[in-house]
Amino acid sequence: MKNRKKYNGLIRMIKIVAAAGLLTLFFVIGLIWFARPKTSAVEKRTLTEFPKLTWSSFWDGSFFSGVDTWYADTYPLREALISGDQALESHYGLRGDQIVNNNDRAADDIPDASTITPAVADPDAASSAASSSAEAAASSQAEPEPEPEENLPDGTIDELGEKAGSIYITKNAGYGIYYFYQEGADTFASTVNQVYQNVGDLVDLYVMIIPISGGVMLDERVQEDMQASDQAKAIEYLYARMDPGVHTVSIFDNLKKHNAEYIYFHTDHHWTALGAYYAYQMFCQEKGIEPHTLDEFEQVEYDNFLGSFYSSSNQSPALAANPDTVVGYVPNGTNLMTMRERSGNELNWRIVNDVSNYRSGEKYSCFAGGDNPWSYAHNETITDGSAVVVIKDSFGNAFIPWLVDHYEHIYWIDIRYTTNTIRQMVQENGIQDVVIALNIDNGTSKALTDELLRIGS
Amino acid sequence: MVFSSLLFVFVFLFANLCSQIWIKTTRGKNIAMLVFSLVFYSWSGPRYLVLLAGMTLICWAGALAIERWPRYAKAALTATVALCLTILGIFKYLGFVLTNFQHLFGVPTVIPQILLPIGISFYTFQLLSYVVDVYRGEVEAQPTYWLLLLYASLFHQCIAGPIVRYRDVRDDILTRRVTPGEISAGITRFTVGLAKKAVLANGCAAVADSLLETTADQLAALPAMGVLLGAIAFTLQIYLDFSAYSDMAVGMGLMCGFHYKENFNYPYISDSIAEFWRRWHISLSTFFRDYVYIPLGGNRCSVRRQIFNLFVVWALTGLWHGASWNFVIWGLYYGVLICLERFVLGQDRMARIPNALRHVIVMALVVLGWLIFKFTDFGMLGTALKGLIGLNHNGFTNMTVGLTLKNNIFFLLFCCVAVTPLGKKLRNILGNLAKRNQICYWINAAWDVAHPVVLLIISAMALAGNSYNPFLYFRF
Repeated sequence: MKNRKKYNGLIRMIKIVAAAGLLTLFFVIGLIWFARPKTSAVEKRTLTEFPKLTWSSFWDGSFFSGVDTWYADTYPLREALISGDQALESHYGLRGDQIVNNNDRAADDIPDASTITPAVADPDAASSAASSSAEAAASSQAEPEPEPEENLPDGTIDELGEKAGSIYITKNAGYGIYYFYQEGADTFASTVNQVYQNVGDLVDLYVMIIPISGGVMLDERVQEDMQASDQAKAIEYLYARMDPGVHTVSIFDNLKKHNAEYIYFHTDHHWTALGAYYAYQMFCQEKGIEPHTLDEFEQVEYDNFLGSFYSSSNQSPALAANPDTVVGYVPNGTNLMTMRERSGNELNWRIVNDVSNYRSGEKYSCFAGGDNPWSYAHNETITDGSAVVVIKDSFGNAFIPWLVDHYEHIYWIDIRYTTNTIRQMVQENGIQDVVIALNIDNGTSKALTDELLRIGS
Repeated sequence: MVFSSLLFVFVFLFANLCSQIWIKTTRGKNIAMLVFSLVFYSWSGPRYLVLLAGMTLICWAGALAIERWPRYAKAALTATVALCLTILGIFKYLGFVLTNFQHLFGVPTVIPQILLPIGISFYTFQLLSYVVDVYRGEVEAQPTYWLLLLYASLFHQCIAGPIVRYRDVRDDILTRRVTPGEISAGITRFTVGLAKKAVLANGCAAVADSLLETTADQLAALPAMGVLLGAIAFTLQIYLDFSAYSDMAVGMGLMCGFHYKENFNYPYISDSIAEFWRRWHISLSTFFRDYVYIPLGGNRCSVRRQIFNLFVVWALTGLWHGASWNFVIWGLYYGVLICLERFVLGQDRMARIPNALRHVIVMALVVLGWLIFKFTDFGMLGTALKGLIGLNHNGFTNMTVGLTLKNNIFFLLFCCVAVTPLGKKLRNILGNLAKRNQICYWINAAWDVAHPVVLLIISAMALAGNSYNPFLYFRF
C-alpha cells in the first residue's frame, strides 16, 4: 500500500511512454515514402497520387485535402489496418445475410410489353456521339501494368470496369440486384434501332441482354421484398421496343430452368461459362443452327476465385468462406487468339486461359482475354468464310468461346474500349453477323449508348 | 484538416506535441502553437485565413479602444460587434437572405454562391465574447495582437468548438503549466474521443446515411421502421460525432496545459428538455444565455417578455446552426418545448411524472428534433415525417431495413450504452475497488496503460478503412 504512490507515478509514466511510443511509430511508418503502395489489389484500383501544387489548388485548399487523401490512401500499413477494421466490423451484428446498397434511386415501374411499339431511332445523336466517344476512346489512359508472372502479364486491374451494383448476400453467396430505369431502357432501344437502320442491310444484327444473378437465382418474393425490378419483364419490354428486324435473343427462361446448376458465380457479378452455354443454346435457336453439347469440350478448372461481390462488400466473410471455381470449356476449333490491348500492344493469347496463378480477384479474365479494344480468333477447321463480331461488355467474355466452333473468323470488341466500327469491319473483314452481348444493367441504361452509336454509325 | 484523419494524428499532432515538449519557454510554445494553428486552419484554404486574421484584428483594436477610451466604450463595442456580425452575416447568411428575398419579391435574379469559411461561427462567437467581456470589465484587453490571434485560431477548438471564452484560457496562454497527471488524463480523453469518432460516429453515420441520405423517391419508399431506424442512428451519430470532437479538444488541451470547459454532459440521459440543453453543446447555450438572453432581461421580467426573450434566443440558436429555415424551425421547436415545460407544465407537474416516462418522452422529442435538423429540404422533411407515421403506405418494415438492423444490432446497442455514463461509472467503481484490493489495483493499472494504445490502433484501423468521414458541424 505504501508503495502505491510510487507505483502510481510509474504506471502513469508507462502509460504516457506507451502512447507516445505508438504515435511515434505510426509517424515514422508514414515517413517511409518508398513503402507506399501504388495500387490496391483488394480494391482493384490505383491509389491516390500526391497532388500537384498549383497556385489555385493551394489557395482554395484542394492541394491540402489532396495531401490528406494521399497520405491515408497510400499509408504503408493500410491493407493490414483495413483487414483489422473488417474483422472488427464483422462483429457489428448478425452478418450472415447482408445487403450492399449501391444504387442511386428507386426503380421505375416496367410497362407492359404487349402495349409497346418500337422506339424511334435517333439520327441526331449519331454525329455528336461519333466525335465525343472518339475523344473518350483516345483519352482513356492505360492503367499500370502489374508485374508479369511466368512470362504472362497478370490480369488487368479493371479501373474502368464494372463495380458490382447492389448486392444481396445470403447463405454465403452474393446476388446482383437489378433496378429498372425507363429512360435508360428507352434510350438503349432507340440506339439499337438506329444502329439497325445504319447497318441492318449489311449484317444480321443480334441483341442478347444478359440478366444478373438476382433475377435468375432468387425467388420472386425475395426480389419484391427488396423492391428489385423483374428482369424478365424488363428484357421483354426492351426487346419489344426494338425494330422487328433485330434478332433478339431471349435467354432468361432457359437460365431460370437451369438455376440449380452453377450458372452464376457466388462472389462475383458475372455468370459462369455454363450460364453462357445456356444462352448460347438460345442464340443457336435464334440463328437456326445446332448447338454443340457440353461433353464435346475439354473442361478446365481454376479454383479460389473471389470476385467483385467480395471486394464491393468490403471482403464479406460470408463470401470468403465460399470461394468460386472458374470452369472453362476449351473450344475445339482453336484455343488461340490475338488481342490488341488499350495500350496498342498486340498479343497472342488463349481463348480459355490458364489463370491458376492469377490473383484470386482476377480469375474471370480466364475468358476471351478479358476486356480489350479488339480481339480475333481464326478457326481454321471451318473454311466457309463465316465471320462474326461480338460487341460486348465483360459478360460477353464467357459467351465468346461457345461461338468459336461455328465461325471461321470470330472478332470481339469491348463496347467501352474499342475504336472499330461495324461498317469498317464489314469492309475489312467481311462480317456477316453482329452480336451485341451486354448485361442487363448496361442494356437498360444510357451509360454506353454513345459508344454503341459510334460503333454502329 | 479534420481531427479524425491519419495525417492529423500521425503527422500534425505528433509534430505539435513535439514542439510543445521541446520548446521550453511559454512564449516559444505560444509562437509554435500559433504557427501550427494557422497551418491547420489554412489546410481548408489559405484564403480564409485572411478573414480569421482580419476579424481578430478588428476585435483586438475594438477591445483596446474600449479600455483606452471608456467614454466611447459603448460606441466602440457597438461598432466592433456590428462589424463582426456583418462579416458573419455576409459569409454565412447572405445567400439565404437573398434567396428568401427572391422568393418574396422576385429580385435579385442572381444569387452569389459564397463558400462558407470553415469554423466562422465558432471563432466569431469566441471573439465577440472576448470583446463583450472586456467591455464588462471581466477581463483585460490583450495588447499583443498575435496572442489574441492564438486564442481565436487555436486549432484545438477553432473549427469544431467548444466555444472557449478568452477569460477561461488567458492564464493558460500566458503561463503554461503541464503536469504528468494532466498529460495522462489528456491522452485518455483524446484517444477515447478519436475512437468515438472514427469507430462509433462513423459507423452510425453509415447506417443513418444508407437509410436517410438518399434521393427523394428512395426516401418516399422507406417503411416506417426505416425512417425510425435512420433517425435513431442519426441521433446517435450527431452526439457521438460532436462530443468526440469536444473530447479530442479537451484531451489535446490537457496534454499542452490548456483547460477547456466540458461541452457535453451525457445529454441523452436527460429527463427534461431544459436539462437536455444544460447538457448539450453547453458552450453555445451559455454563450446565448450570457450575451443575448440576460442582456434582454432574462428571467427577471414579465412572463410575456420572458417568452419573447426565449424565442429570440432559440431562433438565433437554430439560425447559428445553418442558413436554412429548417434550422430555425428546429430552434423554435425547442423554444416552444422549453416554454411548455416552464410555463404550462411547471416544476411540480413535471416532478409527478415518473422519471422513466419523462426520459422516454424527452428522447422521442429529441429524435424528432434531429429529423427536422437533418433535412434542409422541406419536401424531403415532409416525406420523412409522413414515412415515420406510416402515411407513405410502405408498411412497417421491409427486408432491406430488417437486414440493416440485423447487420448492425450489436454495434447500435453498444452505441446506445456509449451515450450514457455507464462506462464512466464502471471506471469509477474499478478505481474505488483498486484502492482496497491489490488485484483490482493491477487490473486498473493495466487498463489505464493499455486503453490508449488499443484505442489508437482501433481508430487507425477504422480511419484507414473509411474514406467516409463527415463532420456534421462543419457547416458552422
